[in-house]
This record gives sequence, structure tokens and C-alpha cells, in this order.
Amino acid sequence: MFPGVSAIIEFKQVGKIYENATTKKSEALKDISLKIEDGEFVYVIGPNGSGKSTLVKLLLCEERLTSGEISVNGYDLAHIKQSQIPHLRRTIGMVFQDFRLIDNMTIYDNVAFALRVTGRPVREIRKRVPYALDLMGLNSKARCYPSELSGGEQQRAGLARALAGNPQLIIADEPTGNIDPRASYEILDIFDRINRTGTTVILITHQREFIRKMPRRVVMLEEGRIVFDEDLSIPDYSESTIAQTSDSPADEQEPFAENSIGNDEIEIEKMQDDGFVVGSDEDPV
Amino acid sequence: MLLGKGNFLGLIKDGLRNIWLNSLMSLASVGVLTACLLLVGSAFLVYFNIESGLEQVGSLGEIKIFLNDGLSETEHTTIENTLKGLPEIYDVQFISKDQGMEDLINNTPDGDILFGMFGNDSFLPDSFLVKVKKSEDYNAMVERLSQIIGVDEIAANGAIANTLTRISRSVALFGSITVGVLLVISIFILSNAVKLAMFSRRKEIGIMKLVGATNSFVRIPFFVEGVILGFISAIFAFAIVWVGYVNITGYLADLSFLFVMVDWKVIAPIIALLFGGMGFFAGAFSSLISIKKYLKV
Repeated sequence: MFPGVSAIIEFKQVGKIYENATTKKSEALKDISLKIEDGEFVYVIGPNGSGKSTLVKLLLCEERLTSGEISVNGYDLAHIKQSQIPHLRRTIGMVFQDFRLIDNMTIYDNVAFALRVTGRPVREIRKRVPYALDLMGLNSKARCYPSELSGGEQQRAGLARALAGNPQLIIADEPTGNIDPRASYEILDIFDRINRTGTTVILITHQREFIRKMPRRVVMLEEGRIVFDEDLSIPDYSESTIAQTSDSPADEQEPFAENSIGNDEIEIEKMQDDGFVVGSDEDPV
Repeated sequence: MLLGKGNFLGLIKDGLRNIWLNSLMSLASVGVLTACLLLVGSAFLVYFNIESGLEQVGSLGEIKIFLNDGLSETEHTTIENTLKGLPEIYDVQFISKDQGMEDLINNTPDGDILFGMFGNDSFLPDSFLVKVKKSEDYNAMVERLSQIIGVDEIAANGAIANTLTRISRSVALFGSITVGVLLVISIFILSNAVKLAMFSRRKEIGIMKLVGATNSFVRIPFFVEGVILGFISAIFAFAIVWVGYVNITGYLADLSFLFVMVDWKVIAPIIALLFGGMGFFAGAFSSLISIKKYLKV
């Protein structure tokens, strides 16, 4: 643990080298230094092979860093013990491009599963799961199987699972990769609302339109290095700066409609640890 | 880490659910383990029956000395003293003809029907049952015994018993090796089945690990699954052996009253314990060694 650290994530001169079977070393990350404060919303963008996936793997301890230091939610990843890794992962809510739902379980069970295997008591699960599903507007689909849901709904289920444990940090790895454009904006909106409750959100994405629609801090990776790290939500930034973040004309898609975010009125309030919501106007069903 | 009671039951339910969902795989595993248990059980039953058969034939340690008819009380006593005086003999026991008859009726199945027709007359002679210490020259000693006045015949199965004891020991050794080898094979095959099951569920395991489940949580449902499969195999094997053994016993008894097998009631608890233990051990062990590969996420 780093003494006196305020940032929820801190990378200090982090490097990661993969050694594969043919002893060809590939440097996936070079000299990454980065600080993300509690409650921030950060886009992580970059072309394929730029190191985005490696970054996520390091955060989850799927891979160990080769050099430097990383602190996540108070855990020192350079020296973390194998037995502590599950506890680190419980403080992070992961959302995947391929949703990673279990096909032969209902939506309810999928969300409950994540809580059950992390040792939450049964009565806590019985409170949290319906609440998480309600936040994502999936009450009616609780008894359905993933195959019966649309892409957008499946991702919302993945989000419900990520949120159910009340994590400090949400990491979304290309969450809209398998979803149609309209549903994608709905998902983006949900991330925004999650962030407004104080949860830190890191969104790894290809979709530059998101950045235009909802400018926030952008960290751009290229060949393992950070080449751009600015907060675009500050009004100083012009369209041209935003344009800098894209690396190909193909990214310049048609301008999106202003009010294309979905029509669900989902009020997301941060769920307190005892399962009750403070200051919500809505009835948590 | 404390497991809440509700959570523990939930993990057991997971194990059961997994068996149901992968029913074909479970069926294959159960089939293999049941076959192995049957082989082990058969080997054991053969050994057990031979062993108890040997006991009936008589051991190296006992000799039956049949006396001439019509000897007096005094002559009986003389013979008894002579026997007691011999250094190789200990434990001299007199068996009257009536006692001998009673023993024969009791030891033979349906004896009362077979021998009842003779009424109260015993066609057996009086005899002495003596126990013998190990002797250098067994045959010479038997010869000396037959020279005693009043002795008609000697029933000394020592030589035969010797051979049979050697056979029995070979069977025991062979049986143990068989059991050991079959157990190893069972574990190997079962662990392969468990590995396949885990491979088909690697997605689930991966998610469990990423979400922050500890290794124990991942292990427990598979452990439960392995043990349950082991017990199911044990139950199947037990049922098959039960039916088979009772039928074979009946069939052989019909052939000849000489083929007396050990009663099922005597041997059933042993078989149940054997199968149960092996089933549990095979199931538990194979699931634990199979899962290691998938925990490295």
C-alpha cells in the first residue's frame, strides 16, 4: 500500500514485457505513468496493439508488471500476494465486450453468481441482485436466459453484475463492441450516471463519437506509450483538439443526434452498503 | 474465511446442478468408475470366499483322530493320555459319536434333512480333535499317531492345507495388486472425465476468478461433483454385486451342497464400506488434482 495516496489508480513508470514461446520479447507497455483520482471518468483509447488490453490485465492482476509500480484501490500490484488478488478483484467491477454471461444461468443467477462466489451472505444477495437489475431496467428479464436478450440488454446484465458488489471502480473493456449504435449510446449514458454517483469509471473504447458526445478525460495509447492525456470536458478544448484523438478518417462518423440516448428514465443512486438507498425519490422495487 | 451456511449449501447445489447439466459426461464417469468397482469387488469376493473355504477344509494346525468302534472308557482315557504326552500335540479334545453327528448336521446346509433319516444313530465314530504345533516331519508324526492302539484313521489335511494356504496368499497378493492398479486406473479415468467437465466450464471458472472468487470457492462445487459421482458409482456397483452374488450363490448351491459360499449378509457391509470408501476417494482425489490447471487465472 502506498502511504498517503489519494488517487484510486496510480501507475509509476510501468513497463510490461511479454515473453512468448519463441523467446521473442514484445514490449506491450513502456514507461506508463498515470494517475486517476477517485470519481473520475476516463476514456482509454488507441489502435489495436497499443497496449489497452495489457493495461486492463495489469489492473486485474491477470498479468504481472515487469517494471514500475501500480497502486489500485490501495493494493500495491508489484508486491501483491496471490491470495490477495481475489480481494483486489472484488473492489473492481469489470464489464466485457463479449458480456461474459453464463449461458445456462438466468440473468438473476448470473448477477447473483458473482456475489455468491465472493462469499456474500444469502440475505445480502437477495437484496442486492433485484436492486442491481432494477437499476439496469432488467426486472422483467430476471428469469430469462442470456440468449433471449438483445446485445444491449445482455450488456446491461453484465453491468448489473459489475455493480451488484458496489465496487469503487468500474472498468469497461470495449463494452459496446458487440452492440448496435443506438443501444451503445444507452450504455454510455448508464456509465455516465454511474459515474455521477461517485464511482470511478474507466472506459476503453474505439468509438470516438462517445468522446464527442460526452467529453471527459482521454488517455490515448500508441505502441505501448501514453501519447495524449487531457481532460476534454473542460470547455477550453475545441473541436480540433478532439479531432486529435482520432487516428483515422474512418473514425469521423456521422454526427450523432443530440437526444439519441435511450428513453429509460433510470435514476441511479449509489447503493449503500446496507442495501438501502439514501435520498432517492424512486421506490427501489 | 467464514462460509455462511446458506452459501455452503449454495455451493453444494452448484455441484449437483453441474452434474445434471453435464449429464452425459457424468454418466460416462459413473459408468467407468462402476466398472472398476465391480472388478475390484469381484476380485475381493473371490478372495474372501477362497479364504473362508480354506477354513472349512481345515488348517495345518488340526488333526482328527478317528477311533475304532467299541472301545471302553479306560481305553479312551489311555489314548487321551498318550496324546497329551506327545510334545507336538496340544489341546486334546474328545468328540463322541453323537457330538460328531451334531457338528456334522450343524455345519452342513440342510444337514438336518440330509442326515435326519438316520434317526438317533450316529454312523460316525468317536474321535479326538487335536491341535498340532509346527513339526519338522509332518508325515512321520501322522504315521506315529496312527500306530497308537485303538486308532482307526487319521484325518490330517496338513499337506493339502499347506498348498491351499499358499494359494490363498497368492490370491491375497494378486487381489491387493489388482485393487491397487484398478484404483489408480479409476482415479486416472475419473480425473480425465473431471478435466473434460472443467474444460467445458472454463468460461464459468474464468468469470469466477475475474469477479474475485478465491480458489476454494472454485474448487468446492467440483469437489462435491466428484464425490457425488463416486458415491453414485458405489451404489450402482453395490446393487449389481448384490444381485449377482445372491444369484450365483443360489445357482451353485443348487448344483451341489459342497459349494457353500459366504452368506451375503456377512459380506455385504464389507463390500458397502469398500465401495463407498473407494468411490469417495476416487471422486474427491480426481477432482482435486484436475482443477489445479484451471485455477491459474
